[in-house]
Amino acid sequence: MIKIYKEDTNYLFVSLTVKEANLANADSFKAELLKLIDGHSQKIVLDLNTVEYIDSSFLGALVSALKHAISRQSDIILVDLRKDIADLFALIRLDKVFKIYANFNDVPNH
Amino acid sequence: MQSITNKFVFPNQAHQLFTSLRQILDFVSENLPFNIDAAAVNFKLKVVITELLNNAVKHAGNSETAIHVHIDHENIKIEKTDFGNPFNPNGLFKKATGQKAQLSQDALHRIYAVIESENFARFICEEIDNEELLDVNNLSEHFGLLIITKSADEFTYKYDPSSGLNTFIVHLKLL
Repeated sequence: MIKIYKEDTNYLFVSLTVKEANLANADSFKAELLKLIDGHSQKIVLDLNTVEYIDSSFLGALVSALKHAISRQSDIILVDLRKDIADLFALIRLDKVFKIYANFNDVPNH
Repeated sequence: MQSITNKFVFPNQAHQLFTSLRQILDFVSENLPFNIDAAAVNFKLKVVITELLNNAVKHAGNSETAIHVHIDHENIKIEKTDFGNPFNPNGLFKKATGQKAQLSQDALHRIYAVIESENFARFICEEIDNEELLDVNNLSEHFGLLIITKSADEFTYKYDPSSGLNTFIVHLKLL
């Protein structure tokens, strides 16, 4: 569900490969993401471009993973959100919680 | 336009969520008044239906959920009914009419239920302004109720003790 795209000193660049990010795959997503966080010292940059639909269960998994990342002095940075997904983040103010950029190239210091 | 109503019955299964959502969105897009900004309506409708169905899969506990969608020239009303466990956090309906019960609080929001009458409550949300001091550990990981409350123009819950019927109603204004 999470594909590693590339890595450098500061970041591990990964993409989510599902279109529907929901209750059916939220637990698997969280388990994969926690494994990446624990297995890499870099911050995670997660590309959500393929995601057409995201629900509260998946957002809960993402926030839970962010708490884990921050407890390990890491971070989860999001890139390339479709308009509906960005609008949902703004609606519940998760755009104040996650660093969000237009694409991989906009992430600073890589 | 004349008003139109349709009833959708869904199995409470996670892998059916997207198919169920698609059926309702298609019905609404075919029946929206011509002068309405479909994109804005579709966003709210999509997140509301998604979370109502999610709630059914996670909490209702029975095998099917019914969603009635009513469209007229000014509003869309979405009504979710089931016979699962009643929504009654912290003895919600022991409060007097007019009082509000806090359902949740995290670093960004408080959600309340205002008791409108016996077994009937309206959900409201307050934003908390502390972005500069935001502590991620004080963030909720449960966003369903928040998403519906913030998307809806009105969001209510009604419980019928004689039949055990739970009814969640979301109003979205079109104009």
